[in-house]
Amino acid sequence: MSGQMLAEKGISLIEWQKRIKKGKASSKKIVKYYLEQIKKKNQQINAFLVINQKALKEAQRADEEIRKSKPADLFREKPLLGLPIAVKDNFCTKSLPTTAASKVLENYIPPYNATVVQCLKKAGAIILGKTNMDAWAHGSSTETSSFGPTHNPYDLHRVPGGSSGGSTAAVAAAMTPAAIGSETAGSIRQPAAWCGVVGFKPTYGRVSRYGLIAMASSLDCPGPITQTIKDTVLLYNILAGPDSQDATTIKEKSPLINLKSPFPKNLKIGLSQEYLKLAKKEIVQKIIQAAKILEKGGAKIQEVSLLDPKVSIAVYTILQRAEVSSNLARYDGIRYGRSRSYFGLEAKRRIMLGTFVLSAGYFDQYYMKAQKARTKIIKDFERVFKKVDLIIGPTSPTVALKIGEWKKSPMFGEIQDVLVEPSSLAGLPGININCGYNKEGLPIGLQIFGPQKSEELILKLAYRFEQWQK
Amino acid sequence: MDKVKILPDHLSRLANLKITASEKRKIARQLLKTVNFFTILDKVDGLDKLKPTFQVTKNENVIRKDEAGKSLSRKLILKKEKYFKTKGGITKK
Repeated sequence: MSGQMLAEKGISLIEWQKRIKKGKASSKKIVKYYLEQIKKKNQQINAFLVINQKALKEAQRADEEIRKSKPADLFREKPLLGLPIAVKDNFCTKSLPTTAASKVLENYIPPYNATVVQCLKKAGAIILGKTNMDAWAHGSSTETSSFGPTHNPYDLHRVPGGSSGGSTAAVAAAMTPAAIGSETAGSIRQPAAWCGVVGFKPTYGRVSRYGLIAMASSLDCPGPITQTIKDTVLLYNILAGPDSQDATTIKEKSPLINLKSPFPKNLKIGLSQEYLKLAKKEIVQKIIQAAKILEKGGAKIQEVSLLDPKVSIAVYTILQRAEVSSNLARYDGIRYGRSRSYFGLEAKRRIMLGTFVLSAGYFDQYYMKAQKARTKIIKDFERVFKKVDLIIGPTSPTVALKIGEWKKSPMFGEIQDVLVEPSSLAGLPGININCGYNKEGLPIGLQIFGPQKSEELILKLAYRFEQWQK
Repeated sequence: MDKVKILPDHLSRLANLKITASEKRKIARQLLKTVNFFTILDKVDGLDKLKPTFQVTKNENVIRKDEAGKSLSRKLILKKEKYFKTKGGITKK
C-alpha cells in the first residue's frame, strides 16, 4: 500500500521575483502563503522543526524596501529581497534554535549566523524556518532525527532520504520555494533524488562552512536545494566565495555563473558501468534515457571505467567516523548543550567507531590507509577527466525506501550513498536533477559531476537537460 | 588486515560515552561487522606508494593577519543567559 501524496509543483524563486516586479505579489503575501502551506502539511511531513516567528514582520520590512526601490534596481543588490527560504537545522541562525536534530542541542540558540545564513540575509532573504535532518547529519533517511522522521511527500510511508531530507521534502511539497542543505557524501544529492528536486553540491571549499555544525570537516559542503536550475544558480552565486572565517574555503573569488553564456560544442560525457551496475533496473532505464536526451542535444556520451564505488564506502566510513568522533568531542555539556548521555544510538555508534579507527595500534591500519585510498580515488577521477568533461550516472541505487529500512544495516547511509561518495571524497562538484519517475510515481535522480571548480559546466548542462527533457 | 578485537568498554571510556549493557552488545556486534567490511581496502592495488590526502583542494598554511578583530560581546553572550541556557546543562542559579 502506498501512502498519501503531498508533492506539488511550487513556484520558483525566479517566478516570485517576476511577480513582485510586476506588482502581482508582495513579500508578506508570499511568506503568508508558505506559512499556511507549512501549517497544512507539516504535521504529516515533519519537514520543519522550527518556524521563524518574525518571518511576517521581516516580510513587511522587505515590502517597504521593495516599494522604495526603482523597478530597474529591484533585486540587483538584493537578489532575494522579500523571498522566503528554509535552512537545514545544522546551520547556526542567530536567535533561532539550531539543534542539528539532536536532543543534545535541543535548547541551543546561537548568538551568531553561519556565513551561509549571513549571505542569504544580506541578499534580502527571509528565513522561513529550520528543517529536519538526520541527527548531526548522521544518516541518509532523516530517521535518526531526535524529533521524528521526515516523510516523503511523494509517499508518506517512505523516507525523503537524508541527511537534508527536511529541506528536500519541504521543497517537493511546496512548503518553501527553496532550501539550503549540507552534504558530506550525498546528503544533498540523495534526498534531492528521492524527492524529485534539484540538489547541488559545489566543490569542497566553494561555500563557507563557518557556522555549519561540523560532521566530517574535510568533506562538509553547504549547497542549495531548489525546483529549477535557474534557482540553483541564483542561490549558488549568492553563497559561493572565500570566507576569512573558514580557512578551507577556496581562495579565489568564485566566478558568477551565467547560464546564457555559450554552451561548449562537442561536450564529452562519461557514463560508467561500475555505477550503473549498482543501481536497480528501473533506475538504469531512466539514466540511459537521460543519456539519449543529452546525446540528442549534441553531447557525446562515452563509456568510462571508474574505480569500484564500493571502495569509497570503506574510505568514507573510516574518515567520516574518525572526523565525527573528534568533532563531537566538543559536546561535553559544560559550555553549551546537554551532556553526552543525550546522544542517540547512531551518534554513539559513529563516535565509537571513529575512536576505534584513530586509536593506538589501528591508526595506520585504517585511517592512514583510507587517506591513501582517497588519493587513489582522486587520481582515478583525474585520469578519467582527461578523457571526458563531465560524468553522469544514477544519484541513488534505488527510489525512496520505506520507513524503517535503515535499521537493517549499521552502514545503511553509506550503502545508499555509494554512488555519490567517490565524488565527495575527491571534493568534486555535482548535481542531482530529476529524470523521471518509476511505475509507482516515485522520483528518479540523474547526477552530473565534474572536476573541481567545474560548477559552471555542470549547471549549464543540467539547465540544458531540464529544457530538453520537457 | 590483522584480526581485530572490539573492546566496547575501552572504546566508550576513550570516547567519553556511557553506554548501557544492551547498547554495548549491539554496538560491539555492529562495529565488528563494519570493520570487517574495511578489508575491501586490502584489495586496492598500490596504496603503499601513495601519499595520504588530508585536504582535497590543496590549501596549505592558511593564516590570517595577526590583527585583533571583532568578536561577540560578553554582554550579548551572557544576556540573561539567553544563548547559553540549556535544559540539563549547566545554568546559573
